[in-house]
Amino acid sequence: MQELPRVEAPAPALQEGRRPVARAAAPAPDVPLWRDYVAYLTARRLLTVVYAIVVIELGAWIVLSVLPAGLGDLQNAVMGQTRSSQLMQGDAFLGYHLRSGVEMAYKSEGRQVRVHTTSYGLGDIGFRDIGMNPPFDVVALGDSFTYCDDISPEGCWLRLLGEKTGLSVADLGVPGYSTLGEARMLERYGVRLHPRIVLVTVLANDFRDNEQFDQWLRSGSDDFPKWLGQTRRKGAVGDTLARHSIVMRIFLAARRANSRQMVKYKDDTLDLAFSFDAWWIRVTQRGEQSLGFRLLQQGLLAMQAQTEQVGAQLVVLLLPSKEEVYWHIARQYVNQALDVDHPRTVVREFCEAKGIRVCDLTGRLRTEALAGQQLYLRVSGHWSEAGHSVAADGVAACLREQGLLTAATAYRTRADQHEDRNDSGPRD
Amino acid sequence: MLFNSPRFLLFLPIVLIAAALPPLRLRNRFLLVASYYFYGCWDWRFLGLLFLTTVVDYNVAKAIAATDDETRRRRLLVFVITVNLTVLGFFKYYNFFVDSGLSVLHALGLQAGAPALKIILPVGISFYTFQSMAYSIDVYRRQFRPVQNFLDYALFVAYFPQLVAGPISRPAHLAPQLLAPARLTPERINTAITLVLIGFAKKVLIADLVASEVARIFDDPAHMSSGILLRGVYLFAFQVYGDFSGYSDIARGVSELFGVRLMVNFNQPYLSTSITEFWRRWHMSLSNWLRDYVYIPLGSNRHGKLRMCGNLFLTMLICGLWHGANWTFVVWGGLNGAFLAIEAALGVDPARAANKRRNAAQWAVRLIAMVVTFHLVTFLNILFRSPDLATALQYIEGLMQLTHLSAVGFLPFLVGAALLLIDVPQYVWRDHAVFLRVSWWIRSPVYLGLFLGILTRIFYAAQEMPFIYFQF
Repeated sequence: MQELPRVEAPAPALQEGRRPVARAAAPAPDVPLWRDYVAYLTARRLLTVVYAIVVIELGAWIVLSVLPAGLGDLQNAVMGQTRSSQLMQGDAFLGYHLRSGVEMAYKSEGRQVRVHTTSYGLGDIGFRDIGMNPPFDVVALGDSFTYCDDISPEGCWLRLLGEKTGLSVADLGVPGYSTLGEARMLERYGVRLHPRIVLVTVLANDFRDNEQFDQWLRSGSDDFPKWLGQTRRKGAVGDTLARHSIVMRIFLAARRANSRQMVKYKDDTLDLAFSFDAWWIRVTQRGEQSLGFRLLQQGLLAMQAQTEQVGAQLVVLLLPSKEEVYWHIARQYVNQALDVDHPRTVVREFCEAKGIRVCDLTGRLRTEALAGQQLYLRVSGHWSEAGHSVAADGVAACLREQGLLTAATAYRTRADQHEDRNDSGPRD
Repeated sequence: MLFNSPRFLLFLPIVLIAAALPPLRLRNRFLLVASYYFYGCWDWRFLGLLFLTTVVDYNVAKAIAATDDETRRRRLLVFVITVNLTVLGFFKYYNFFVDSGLSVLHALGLQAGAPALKIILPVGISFYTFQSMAYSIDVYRRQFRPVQNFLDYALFVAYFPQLVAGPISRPAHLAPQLLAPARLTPERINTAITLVLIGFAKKVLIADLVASEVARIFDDPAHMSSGILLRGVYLFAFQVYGDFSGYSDIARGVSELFGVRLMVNFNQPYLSTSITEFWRRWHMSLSNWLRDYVYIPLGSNRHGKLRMCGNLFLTMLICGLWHGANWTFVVWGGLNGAFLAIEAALGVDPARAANKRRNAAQWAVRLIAMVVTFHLVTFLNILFRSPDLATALQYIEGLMQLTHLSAVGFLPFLVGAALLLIDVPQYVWRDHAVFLRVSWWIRSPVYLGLFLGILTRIFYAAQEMPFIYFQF
């Protein structure tokens, strides 16, 4: 082929006479490219990359630390992991539990949230302190809804329930817990608080969380968060990066945000982001066929046996998610025809068949939602102050309907409690 | 396969490493396979079309070069151009011409029917057909000797960095480089990295960010206030520039890593002071192609001003039609042609103006000219973006009502400022890799930050946003 000159970027013109200016280039010998690449990778360039990583990490940390309140969501998404590692620790039996004596405050969706944990004298473990003291009439088990994530103690539905009914409630909720984990929590700690009522919250995500907990049990690991981190991040390197690199956390936050397929809805009274996770759609379609549901049944039966043993009443609280409550709005964003009540229906049917009491808060929450109440936080899937209040009302009404409220208070009145504190409170 | 897809971010390192190991001949064979794989990822069925174009142009160009019989040479050229345009016309324009023809017949009161075909437009067909045609024409003009090896020619047509959206390379520019790529100096690798990062930043951090907002506004202009419509016009201007020039920068940067320098395709077009200058800075490889293979053969400026204006107008009509089988593109091209013709008639010569020394007042005039040109181009783009002429007119009518102009918001200014941050230094220093002049201790964290931002967007974006020019 003809040896033609190489042409540098020509000056374009839609007029004649402006031909590309040719410039001869030196002929290149036939050398494999890898030699040029290797020659490029000098020690100085590699050090430059290390320097850039350090600057980026420091820069990201500084930027996140000084973010204004309006961008607190971003800070939350990225720093949430630091918070959870401050708050929780691995546990060979429970997977993980809260640390005792933690004091922290952080911003969530523009609101200040305070967290304090206490052990109730049960040893090296912490529980969310919602401002109620032993002896307890009620022990509440569950995940972040029970833990009252994203809200300070005075807004927590369990505290409101206690204030409305006169019951003293212990919050044994731990974010991310499964029914199996809750059964173990009841077995090891819950029964030692001598409750008359044991409340267990069940949401659609328990179907998934039970499967994860079961896998962890089978893995032989003695630290659930570490195991989960390594499983999700495909190994120890990814997990270490996620623990120590701000940049990696930004990646992970972006991935979480993306995988949740979030859509935003806003009208005169509501400002909500809905997320339609793949697992939620699966559970909604055929949750009863899943391993998670079978494990959930196991967990509930174990709790029923334990509560019967100590003469307490087990009550399963069926909690709908934000999408399920606002389904009249959220349904427009989902292509599939979903029966969002399906997971709760199958759990209720199971409980009724086994003689377990059930309170379903869906109807009450939906009524308020249809009236335009913002019951959930904008981005988080957790309740707003209004949501906590409606939930507390709903649980109180249900307990009353079931005749449990009277029985509980009759058994353990405020005066009794005061007396009991001196001789029958829980001991480590 | 999209440049901005996780798949490409896996494909590129594999191809770079695999192509770096063997000597040149094997490297080119491997690049050919990789290029066909790259194209086949979109739709493997159209690999046959790409192959057909390659076979026809290669053999006919060879036959043209083999004979001195002018009549035969001309016939062969007509044949190869006919084949290329027939393929392009069928896949791109069949329904357009059939529909338009039927509309005319109906308007004349004649009843006629024609089969409506569901034709998929092969991605990049306009780009590789033009590149392939340029090869045959250059061989016919004796400006280029035909490539001797079919596989080398196949790589010239299918070279993956520029296959689906250009730049439309010329044989004399690309083919010799593929056969004898330059050594990769550290400066070239740095330039390549800079171009790839700038390209991805323009695409995924700027253009894709506003894509949904632009779509929302252009999909339903009837229900938007003038302020929102104005926002849409500005945002689309930045989107299409970030999208297409971003693609070109990535293509150039990636190609540079193989030792092959592609043409510059964009040269800060929104800093042009006239429509004429704009077309010398926007999609330059197409402008040059049209100049050399349409405008000059039409007679260019050799037959007086009136004919020159006509030629400019006609060339831009073809340019409009090249962009898509829709009357919006034809009118868009025609209006651009009209502006070019008016400027040519007025003697506007950006090349002469570019070399002048200026005082502050002249700079101010130039700045005003830039703003006016930008707005002309931007408002013509309403035709470019609208699905049909009726919607475009609706859009323009909505704009003219001048309601709620404050609704334009800050976003267009932010996006425009981000693009200016890239363009102005390139414009002032006349260097696309101008950021390499920045000291390493500032540059390296910025580059890494960009890289991480781009990765985050690509891996975690809700959906892959195709490049706008893929449809052409």
